[in-house]
Amino acid sequence: MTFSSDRQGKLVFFKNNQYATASKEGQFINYSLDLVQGESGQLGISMPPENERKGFTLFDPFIINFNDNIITATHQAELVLKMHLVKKSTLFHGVFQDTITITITDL
Amino acid sequence: MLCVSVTAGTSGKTAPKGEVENILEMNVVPFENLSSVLPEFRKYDTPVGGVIIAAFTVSNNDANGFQISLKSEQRGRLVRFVDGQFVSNIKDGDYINYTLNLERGPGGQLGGEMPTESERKNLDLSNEVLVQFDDQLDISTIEAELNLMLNTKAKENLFRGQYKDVITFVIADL
Repeated sequence: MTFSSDRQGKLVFFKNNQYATASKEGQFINYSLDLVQGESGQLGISMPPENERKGFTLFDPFIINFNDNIITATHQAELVLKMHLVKKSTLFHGVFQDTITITITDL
Repeated sequence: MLCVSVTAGTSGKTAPKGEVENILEMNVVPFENLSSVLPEFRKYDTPVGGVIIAAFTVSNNDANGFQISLKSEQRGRLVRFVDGQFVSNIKDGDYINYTLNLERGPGGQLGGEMPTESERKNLDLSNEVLVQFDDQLDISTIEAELNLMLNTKAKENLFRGQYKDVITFVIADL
């Protein structure tokens, strides 16, 4: 799975249907992600080790390989993406957002 | 808030989104006893730069900045105050004009530059004055301390007594 961010791993100030043009300190907050297994479906393999799927950032696209201890095919396995933020008191008032694209490919 | 839109296929998108609430706050710390810091109006000018009469802190996180309005009850004058009220028929010996300077204090964090000196010094409160803080904003303003300095020129013909005004500050988003 490849995770890529429109805003290089930041939630960015979003106003009047567009992102802020200048990247001032008050206009963005960095985040990191964890990928964890959900409750439903069937994952035919072991989840990758935590250091390969927790606390990753999206300054560049991030790839997670699911190739450990393959037993069966994977069928509708639920995966959950969790976000971490560290509080930033200097942020401006308003909406902050990003778009993350997730792509799956065969190995 | 997290919005997820995934359809069957080999890719999907998620659009994480959150909102930062508005902060707009001012805390004024008046100096209760002006006579201890102000000169004797009749004989002396205030020192260069003025005399501090109030300190206040401002917090604001609007990306466009904020403004502070200053309004004087006595239209930019200190007026003689007798028996709990201002004198009603104000004569030349009953008042002294003043101007104000708004200065950056040592505390807190100001999200941009201070307004230019011409916009915040020698302010005449004969009418309401607006000072805008909208220059080169990089971050939000958090408990930034500002000091209000008062300037007077010696006025020998003042009557004896106590002189006073009430200044109201209002902060607003731009």
